[in-house]
Amino acid sequence: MSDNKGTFIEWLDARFPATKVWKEHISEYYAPKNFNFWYIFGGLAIVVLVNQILTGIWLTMNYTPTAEGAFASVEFIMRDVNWGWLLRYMHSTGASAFFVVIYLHMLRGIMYGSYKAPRELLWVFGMIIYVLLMAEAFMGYLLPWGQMSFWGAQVIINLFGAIPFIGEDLTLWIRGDYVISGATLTRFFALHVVAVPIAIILMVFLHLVALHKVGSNNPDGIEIKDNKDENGIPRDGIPFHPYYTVKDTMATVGFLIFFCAAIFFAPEMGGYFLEPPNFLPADSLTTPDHIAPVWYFTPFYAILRAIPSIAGSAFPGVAAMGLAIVFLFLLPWLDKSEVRSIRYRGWMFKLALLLFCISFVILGYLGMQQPTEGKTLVARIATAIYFLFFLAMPWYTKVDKTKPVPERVTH
Amino acid sequence: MTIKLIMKKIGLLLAIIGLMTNLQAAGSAETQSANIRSDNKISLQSGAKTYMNYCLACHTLKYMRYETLVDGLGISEDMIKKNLMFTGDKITDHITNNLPENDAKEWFGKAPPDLTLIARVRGADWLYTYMKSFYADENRPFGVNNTLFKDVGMPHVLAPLEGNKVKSNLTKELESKIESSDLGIAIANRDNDEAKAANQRAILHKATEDLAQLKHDKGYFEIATAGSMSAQEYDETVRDLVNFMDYASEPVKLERQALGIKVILFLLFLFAITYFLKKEYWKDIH
Repeated sequence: MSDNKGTFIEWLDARFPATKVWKEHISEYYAPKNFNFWYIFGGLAIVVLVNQILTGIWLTMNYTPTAEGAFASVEFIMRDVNWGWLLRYMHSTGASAFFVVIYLHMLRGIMYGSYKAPRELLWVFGMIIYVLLMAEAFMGYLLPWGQMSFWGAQVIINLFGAIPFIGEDLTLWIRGDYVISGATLTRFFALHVVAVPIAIILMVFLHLVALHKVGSNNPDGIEIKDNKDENGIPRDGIPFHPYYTVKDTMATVGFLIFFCAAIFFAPEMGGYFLEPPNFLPADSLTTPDHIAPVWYFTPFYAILRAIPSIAGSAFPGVAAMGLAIVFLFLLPWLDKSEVRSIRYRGWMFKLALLLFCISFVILGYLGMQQPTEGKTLVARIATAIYFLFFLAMPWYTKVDKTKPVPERVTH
Repeated sequence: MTIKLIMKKIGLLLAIIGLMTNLQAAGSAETQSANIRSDNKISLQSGAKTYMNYCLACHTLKYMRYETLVDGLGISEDMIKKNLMFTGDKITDHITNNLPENDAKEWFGKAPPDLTLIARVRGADWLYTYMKSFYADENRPFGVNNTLFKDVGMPHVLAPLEGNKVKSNLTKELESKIESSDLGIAIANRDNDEAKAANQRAILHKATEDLAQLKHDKGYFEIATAGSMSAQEYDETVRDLVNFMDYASEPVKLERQALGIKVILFLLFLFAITYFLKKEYWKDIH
């Protein structure tokens, strides 16, 4: 009996690389020891992903994906399903939480130059996850079949109509109808619960494979693999388990405090997570007074509105919105700096990143507001700063005076 | 990372959340505060009674079941059947009515909407103000209009309680002043008469301020024919009604908040444990 455990692992290892994988990716995966606060968001993104998948599965058990039944089935979940309200709030709050942690995770990557060689592909995989996440969130928002679900989807799908030549056919193809209808709802349901989640899980897997191939960057932006001891272990590296498993556990509990505070005390978050008009069933004959996307899309929506139409076509705005995301993909090749981390960069990059963040937040705010002349002007300035951050990057990262990078990591 | 630094970061996050909620709360100068007490069962019972007697004939609460009221209002099934159930046979039935939709459209121009979730759409303050903003207006089909919801299609069903209100003479005077100074500004602008425009703007400004003051001092309306209730009693009745509608929009609210406190306390405790666990593991890492 006493040998049973060992025998089982041996039996298993002969058929499946259990111990090998555990060692390579957990207990003997060496991560830099100087990770700071900003390094918790990758792990938290996985926590939120698991939350979305689990609560999502249970929500589908009682949700009805038809134009006639969707709205009522959500209220059925809120009122008649045991703990249905909790599942629904975990899922709706989780959607916003996902974007909070992803935006902070991306900012971390930009601050410490985590996208620079050899981590370009890691960054691109991450960006693909971000785009998939936007598609997932957009389609999920249609499912409650409220007024904002309906009209928000109407506005966003109509954007594709601005694309020359194929626009009209494209919108028809997406909707499956001439207007948003039950046909749109059923296909969005299928994509939201099956297709896109599978793609996200696959990309998260590839993101992690790429991460473990090149190793984690760190706040100093130096390669810990360049300085190994006699056993071939990075001198500034510590095993992921137990060091980062206990640290990430702490971070997860800390995150859950905020997450649960939102779920239990402010699930609507003052109209930012659940918009008030979405408590009215979708009605194709009544347009809400003010249609605004959910907060995580509003920076891009503000960019769209800031760009003036040309010859009555909104295509320039739509193109700008697309480019705003395309430029993020290109960061690894736009950044010409010798150093990775913001700690050793000069004032130009620091200023550029600060202005970029401020303009992103301002655009996010403006995207929720009714446009006025003054607000449109501010949105245009912020849009210009947003794009200049990328367009001027090859120049300012090259001429920027950098500081000498240390041999070993610092705290 | 020290506790102090963590606290600083938590403080920053809280500040951001606070700012976001504040932004949303701003800009509701039009409405009065409903001051509802969600945990006041007597108020909820009174509100339910008002709803079933005055509102349900036209406005369903179709996503809610009578059964829900047992816990929510703290009363027995029998009491619900006797006092609140005028439609439906079973306690598990949804709270609906027998208003034929086509007839309703003809009578009101639009079928009266279901109100289960209206408190989550409009907010309690809006509903409270709305029920107090009806006034006599002979140009409207039901003889009433509403200052908060202009040209509303609904009659003032609580008029027997509140009585009939009309705009006071002072209100009418100020409103016509606002209207004429608006016109005056437009004319002055057309004529490029800056002095006159400034004068008209001053009148407009003064009249608008006076009107706001009048609303605040409750001199905006005056009672033309008295109802069965005093102004104070009516306010209480509407407050209870709005409290009930707020409850109906999310029956689980109190349970959610009560559970939330336990969850947060547990997580704080767990955070302390994980913090010290992390510290113990990391003590040799320099």
